[in-house]
Amino acid sequence: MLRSLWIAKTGMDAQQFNLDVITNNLANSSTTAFKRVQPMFQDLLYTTLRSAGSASNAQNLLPTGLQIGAGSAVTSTERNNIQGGLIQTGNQLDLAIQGNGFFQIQLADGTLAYTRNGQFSKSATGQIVTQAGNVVAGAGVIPATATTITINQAGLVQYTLQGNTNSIQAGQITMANFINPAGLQALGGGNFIPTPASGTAQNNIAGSNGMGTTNQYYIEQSNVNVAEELVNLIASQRAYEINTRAVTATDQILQRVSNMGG
Amino acid sequence: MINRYAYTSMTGATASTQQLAVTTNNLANSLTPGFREVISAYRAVPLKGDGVPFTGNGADTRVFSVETTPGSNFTQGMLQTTGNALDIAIKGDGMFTVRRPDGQEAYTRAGKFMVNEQGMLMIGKDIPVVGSGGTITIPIGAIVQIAEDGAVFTQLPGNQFLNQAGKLKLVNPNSNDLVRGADGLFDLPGQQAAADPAVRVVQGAFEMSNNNPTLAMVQMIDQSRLFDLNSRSITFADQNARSATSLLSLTRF
Repeated sequence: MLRSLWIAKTGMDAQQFNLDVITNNLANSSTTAFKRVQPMFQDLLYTTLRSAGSASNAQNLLPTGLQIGAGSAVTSTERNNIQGGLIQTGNQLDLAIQGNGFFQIQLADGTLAYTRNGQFSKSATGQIVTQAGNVVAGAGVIPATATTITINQAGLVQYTLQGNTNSIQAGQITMANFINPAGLQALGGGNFIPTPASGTAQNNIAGSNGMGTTNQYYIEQSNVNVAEELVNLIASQRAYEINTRAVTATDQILQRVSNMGG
Repeated sequence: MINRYAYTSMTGATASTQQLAVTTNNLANSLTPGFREVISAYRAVPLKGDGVPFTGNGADTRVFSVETTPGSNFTQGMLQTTGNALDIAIKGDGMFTVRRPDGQEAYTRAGKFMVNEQGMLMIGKDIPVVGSGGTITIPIGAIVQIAEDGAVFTQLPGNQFLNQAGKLKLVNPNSNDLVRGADGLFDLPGQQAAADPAVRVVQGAFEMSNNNPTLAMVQMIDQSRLFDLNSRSITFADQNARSATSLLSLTRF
């Protein structure tokens, strides 16, 4: 069968995948601390059917060769870790990271995961937990009688009791960063786990050693740019269509081939 | 027996399907960053035996057609601004230098960089970006600033000092000397390109594919028609051969 049929198929596959990623970005344009994902395209291997400079016969060399590429493919998806906008919520357990880094949380099975979504709540036992109920590492326990909770930019959690102006320390929120945050594996729910590509977690106090600061009463918005995604959507859709035209052209040729004997 | 011109037409039909494959590959890569369009052309190949052109018997009318890819189109593609610190585009002529897993230098216009687990600047798995002093490593959490001349600076938040992590090796070889490798990166056969201080880059944008969808659509129409014409010639040759066979067939007598 003709090569162009399969080459056009790789183009359609890549654009289909691109559409999947774009729609997921759009669907998460209001998800707290969501980071947009971009697919990375690459050209597939080239086959050299005739190389330039090879002998066409005893006397002559071919002036130019023939190289046919196999199409395109998505090699990876890259998470764009650009800071999302901060919005003020007034909720004292909302935290936004301004700068690099992740909150460290404990999953139900005891393993550690990382998230930038700082919409926290108090659990029945007074622990600071995520919306899914995972404990925020280092945040400590807030007694039910606490009146105000203060979390400073370095992630220090303090509370006061009624009739007492002295702040009592509950804990210190653990922050982590990675050499290559784009290499983290997304678990869904805004949680990530390290992979060999991301490197291991490096814990630091917020605001020190390149770590961002924690901002109480704020949450980080999604960094999806809806206009940009819509333009990508149009480009991807058209690229898909043009590839289907290549399939049609190939199909017509094949039809003619099958009718040639008649 | 079918007339020889059926075989001449066959080479035209084959060449048009091969050129369709080249055009389709260009189309399939219309969103591949830094992709350079593959140029295709038909070439006439006269019938020869042992280097000597055949004469007589209509041999000089039998000029076959083959498809060739003489090179790549190196005109600048559109720049897409993303704001990503690791998206770098070259303004005007020039190429980035990268190192293949086999240690050979290769050249590309694809400026979507990433860092690996060691903080090394890469353009893909196993393919590091080459700087003037080897690979370039970005410290954890650092903000990356890339100057117009390709110098890579890193700044840790809260620290006002810029550290130079390296300088991209930007080259500007003659585009006629560049050969596309099997992996789509370009090679300069037999030599290494020297760094060119005149090449300029811009941070926060990457260069898109430079393929031209309009040209590709016209090429596809052209290839389909060329195939049609050639296949029609083959059909004529077939019909002629049938007529000749029926003329000579014994059943007529």
